[in-house]
Amino acid sequence: MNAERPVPGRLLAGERLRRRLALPPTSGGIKVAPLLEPTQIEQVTVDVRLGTEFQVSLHTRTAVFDPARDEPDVAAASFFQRTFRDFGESFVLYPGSFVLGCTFEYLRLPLDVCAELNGRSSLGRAGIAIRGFLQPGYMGVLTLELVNDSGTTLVLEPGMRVAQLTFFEVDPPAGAAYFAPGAAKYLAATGAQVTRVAEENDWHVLARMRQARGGSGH
Amino acid sequence: MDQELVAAVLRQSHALEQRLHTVRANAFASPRIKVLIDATQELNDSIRTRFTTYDEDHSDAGTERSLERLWFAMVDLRLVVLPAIEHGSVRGRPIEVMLAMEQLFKVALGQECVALSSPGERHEYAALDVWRRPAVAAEMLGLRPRLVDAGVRFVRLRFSDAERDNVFLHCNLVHEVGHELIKPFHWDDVLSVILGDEAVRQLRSRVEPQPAFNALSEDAKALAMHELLAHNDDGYDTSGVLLNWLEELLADLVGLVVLGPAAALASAEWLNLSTTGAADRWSRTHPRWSFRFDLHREYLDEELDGSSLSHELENYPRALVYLESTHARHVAEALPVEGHESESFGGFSIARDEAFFNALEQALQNKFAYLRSLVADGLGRVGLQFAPAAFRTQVPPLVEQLMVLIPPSTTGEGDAQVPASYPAIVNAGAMVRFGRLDDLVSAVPALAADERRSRGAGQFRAEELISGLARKAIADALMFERWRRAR
Repeated sequence: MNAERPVPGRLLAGERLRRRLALPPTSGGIKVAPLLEPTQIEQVTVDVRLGTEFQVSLHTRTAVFDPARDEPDVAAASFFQRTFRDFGESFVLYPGSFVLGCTFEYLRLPLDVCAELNGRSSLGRAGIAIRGFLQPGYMGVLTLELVNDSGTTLVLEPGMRVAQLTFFEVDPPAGAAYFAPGAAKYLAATGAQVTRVAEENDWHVLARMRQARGGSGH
Repeated sequence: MDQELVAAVLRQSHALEQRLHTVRANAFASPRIKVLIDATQELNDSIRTRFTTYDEDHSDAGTERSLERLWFAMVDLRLVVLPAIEHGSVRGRPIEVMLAMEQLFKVALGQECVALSSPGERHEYAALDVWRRPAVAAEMLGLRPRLVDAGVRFVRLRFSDAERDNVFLHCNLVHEVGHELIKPFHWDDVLSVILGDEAVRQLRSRVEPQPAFNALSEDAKALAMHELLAHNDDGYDTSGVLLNWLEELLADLVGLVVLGPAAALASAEWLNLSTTGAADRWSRTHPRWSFRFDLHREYLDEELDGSSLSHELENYPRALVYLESTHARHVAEALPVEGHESESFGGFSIARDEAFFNALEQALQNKFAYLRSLVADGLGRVGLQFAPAAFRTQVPPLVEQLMVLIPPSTTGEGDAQVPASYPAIVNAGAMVRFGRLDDLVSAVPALAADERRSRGAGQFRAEELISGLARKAIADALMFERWRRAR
């Protein structure tokens, strides 16, 4: 690995951050692409933009989403409708509504870097809070859980800066990390992804505990 | 006067009005589609007003012929324009592919184009011009040609909804776009009957766009037909079939010249997925697929000669296994009923003589080089040719990006980064998908685990990943370019 030796927990900033962003991914580089403006790289953060794909939460005849009992994959997707907006078009987010968006940028982290995602404060003041955490080795666009907590309808535009990433070094580097078997539910995602919580390994343990209690658990 | 016709049009108009309300509600965020919606609304209003004020003795709409014109315009709006602007065009739009097609049209025609997506249940691809229909209708009604003034063309692209995310299959759309580029607008015979030839001629001069590209000009077409027909001395009037076949081959060539190997692989993939079992048959409208693949092979052999990537197309013939295992000679899917041969083919009967097909294939095969130069010259003039040189230089670095699961959206590093072209991206994807999928599955632990768990599962997931990454790269590259222009 060509990158300098990582310091656990250290925030990547300034020249060190820029060097990491310039390195090829196979040599420990952080890939955030495409960056439409160089100004997206700031002293300690990288701004990311709203992408073009959305998954809109629906009210359906099925009253409950139950990841413990529903079929994986199918269940969550049936509660959403996918839609697209081009740059120059807009997406209307009504008060209290929930929609999954995604970043325009695709991210690929090396095994010795994790990242934190935070919504831009300007957007937070308008009523939309964004947050997330990315494991070392993560690759894909970032799904954004967008909720309008204000009392006013908000218009979002693909291409607008919505959040910022901060990067932290991890030492020792994570092993097979994010894209290891069983850990990569959202591997190389290129659009907004609905939850795949139903695929997690703990469900069979919880199912046995539920059976032991002799009921459905509801 | 036919009051039933008046009532029928008013009913149609009312239904159209209702549906336009829904379309407008869904599409208000898309200003470009709104131009078409507004034009449709205006036409509908005009038609309804004229019918409502219909008076047999006094109104200018008070002749049978005028009403037929209005009816004609109404049918166009309902059948051609409305499906293009309903929900599929807004909600189910695979944005990256549509943007790539818009770019292609823009370069080919020198005019802005909006590609309206039309996902359907059938496993088929098509391009339909929805620009000229309302433009013609507006002219017929004497309205200001809002669509012509807007300077934006509208094309509806139909594709399989089930395969809406398969970026490689969408390469078949370039063949369909090719049809639109090489074929002059078909002015319906019925329009001539209703309006008269002179009126149609005048309409044409006002409405016909001025495309910068027409690979198959009327002169070139006549020459090709003349040369090809010289090879057939069996006395049949074969021009209808020949013209259809010629246009199919030319559309294939547009696909190959614009996209290179990805176009050939896309049609092979389409065939692999096709379950009709009729893909290797002659028809009045299409040559046999195995014959079309001869054209593809010849083009690719030349294009890839000496390229290190040529070995990655080794899997290409797998698509042909299916074809070659079927009977070598089937006769058209729609054999004419005995004694009822179609007059439109000059008394020519498909069933009559299989030897004719062989002769026609032979004649066309001898003209492959000529047809290739015809299309390559036309596309080269407007800068749409994905030349062998571009394939060899642009594709390999993108293949390497895909192998580490990065969308191959740019070439070069740092400030020298340039957005990759649509053909380069889909070809890189095709090269990985058809040539290096095993390597990718082995390199990514999650995929290897899938493959171990269930044979083929890792490969399937890898195919989906590659398609997704290529799709993302197409969108990124186009947005990148548009962003730079808009700054």
